[in-house]
Amino acid sequence: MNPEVAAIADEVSYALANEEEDEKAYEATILRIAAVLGAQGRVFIYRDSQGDIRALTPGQPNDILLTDDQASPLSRGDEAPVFLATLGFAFAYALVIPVARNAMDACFMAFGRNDRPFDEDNAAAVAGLIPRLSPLISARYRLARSERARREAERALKRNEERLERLFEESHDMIYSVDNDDTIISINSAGLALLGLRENSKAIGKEFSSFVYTGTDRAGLLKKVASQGYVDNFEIILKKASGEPVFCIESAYCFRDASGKTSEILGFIKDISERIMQERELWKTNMELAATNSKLKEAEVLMVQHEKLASIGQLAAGVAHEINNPLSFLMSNHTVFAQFAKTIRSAWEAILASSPGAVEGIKDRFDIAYVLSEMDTMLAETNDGLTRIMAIVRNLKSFAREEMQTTIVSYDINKGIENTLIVARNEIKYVADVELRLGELPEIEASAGEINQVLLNLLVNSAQAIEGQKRKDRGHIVIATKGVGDRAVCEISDDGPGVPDELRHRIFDPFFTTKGPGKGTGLGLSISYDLIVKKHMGALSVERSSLGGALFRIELPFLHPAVGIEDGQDNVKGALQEYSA
Amino acid sequence: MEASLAALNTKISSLHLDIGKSAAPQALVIAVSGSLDTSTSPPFLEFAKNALIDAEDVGGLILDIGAIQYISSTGVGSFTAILVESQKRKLPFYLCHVPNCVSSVMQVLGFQAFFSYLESYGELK
Repeated sequence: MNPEVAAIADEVSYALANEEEDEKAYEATILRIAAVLGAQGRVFIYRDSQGDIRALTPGQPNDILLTDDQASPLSRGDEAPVFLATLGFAFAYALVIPVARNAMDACFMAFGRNDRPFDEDNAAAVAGLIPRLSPLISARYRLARSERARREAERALKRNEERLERLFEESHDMIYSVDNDDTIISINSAGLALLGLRENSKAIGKEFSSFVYTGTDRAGLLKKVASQGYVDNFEIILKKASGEPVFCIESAYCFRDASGKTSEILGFIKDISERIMQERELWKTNMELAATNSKLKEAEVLMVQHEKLASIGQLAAGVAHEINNPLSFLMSNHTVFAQFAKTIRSAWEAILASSPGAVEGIKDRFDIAYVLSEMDTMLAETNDGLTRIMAIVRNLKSFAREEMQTTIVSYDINKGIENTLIVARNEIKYVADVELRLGELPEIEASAGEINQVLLNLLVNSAQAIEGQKRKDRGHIVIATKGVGDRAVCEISDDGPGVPDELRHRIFDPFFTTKGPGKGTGLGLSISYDLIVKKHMGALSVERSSLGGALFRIELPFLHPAVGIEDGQDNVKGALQEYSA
Repeated sequence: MEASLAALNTKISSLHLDIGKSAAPQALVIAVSGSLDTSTSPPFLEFAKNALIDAEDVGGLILDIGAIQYISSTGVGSFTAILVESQKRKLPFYLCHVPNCVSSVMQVLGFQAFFSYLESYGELK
């Protein structure tokens, strides 16, 4: 064996003995062989795991993929220079040594030079080294394959990173990650936009919970993620930088370290405000419809009640009218009859005075003295009864007539109170006593029927409030009137339960009632307020009464400021001047 | 109702319901605890609608939601559905012991004014 080749063989043996089966030992050995051969270029060719043929040259960072056609000259030694030329080596002469074993099919070493051809000794020397080189070549082969696999893995990793980066940045939904303390590590552009932020720095390093509307919801999500490793479709309300809430749905996943402790949470958040707002509108519409239906039913009941009341009023007016005619002649006859009785008494007394003995028997037989005495009593009682009936009929007619009046007329508020009390008497008489403290007032300009309606509402309210207390004693209602400045003031106070402070501002709202089901519609005070404040430019207020219950105060201007009087304006003004004087 | 309540409590682990008839004499009380979300709201709503029938005998329905830990918009939606149903039946319906997590969501949805609230059952007396 050539001494130099023998030295290389020893070197290979040494490398193998010292387990230097690595690229370094291979390169050093091949360099020595190339030097002995006077080679100016060298190539390692192998077939990879995919079956592709690749060439590995010292000057190239990556191996070169060869087609089968390109690699075919390898098996034909005389065409080896042609093959090397395909790799960019322009050598006049080439030596290709197949070093393949069974496991390394199509594995070659190729050397090239220009000064002289490789002779048989060269080929024989290298071929003689093959068995010893084989472990090193195997190591180089493995390194080449793993190197390629690593580069491919790196390329795949890079592609994945690029895809993930693109997905992260171009997603329309928020993607973010937080550490174990819920501090934001990363957030994409969609996330910043969702939170109304322009700069990444406004979010990174901040606690995620600071962007959540309800802190307890975030705590609940973190707890769930920590316990089960993930959470799906968790609805959460985020808070924009402007404070505006945004309904979102979140899915989050937990990454744990080797000890099982949460190291990072990755979350995906989708804005679902639009869907929620659509649902909200639907729910709201349903609730409003239900409320409107309920109010319509109440209004229907109220209208029926009003209709009934109106019918009763008409009936009362009709009955009053019908009673009035026979009552007139009854009263007339009674008056005449009383005068006749007086005449008969005078005649009887005259007979007794002129000849007492002649009628003594008649006097005793018919008990004339008793008859005359009882007749006077009965006539007085009849007169009283008829007078009361006439008063009731007059009041009924007056109330019914005023009920129909909606125009502004001269109105005596004290008289209106008395008339209303007659109508409300049945509601009040079993539960309370009424005390009148009516001051001297001129007639005012008002719609009599409407003011009477307000008075009736307030009086019935007082009576029902007292009745609702289920008390043993009778209640006390005081009605007082007085003039204050250019206004007539009527105060209706009672010793009932009163109006709680927190409800005082609501009691004039339509449909607001504190009465039980079927007792009140919640419209009485609302209508009263409308009539007094809007129609009469007055005031209606409520406060605590000195009696312990409620005090409703009606204030009405003596002269209506907006509406001209159709009837009796001069009378009102004249009366007002007298009152002022 | 007790049987369906037991079945519901067994079926859903994240929500628990209790019924109290004696707690407020004028109303049936349903005490709700846990999470009222997309998955638990539908069975809860079905149960509550059935409970309205029983509540008619007592005079009203109180939902004691003091122990609710989480509510989604669907959960609030179920309250609105109960309100609508109660109005159809002319039955008073109250939310009692409303926690912050519920009032926040109701506030964002703008539904607070639609409901009647109780701080305690005693307010009904």
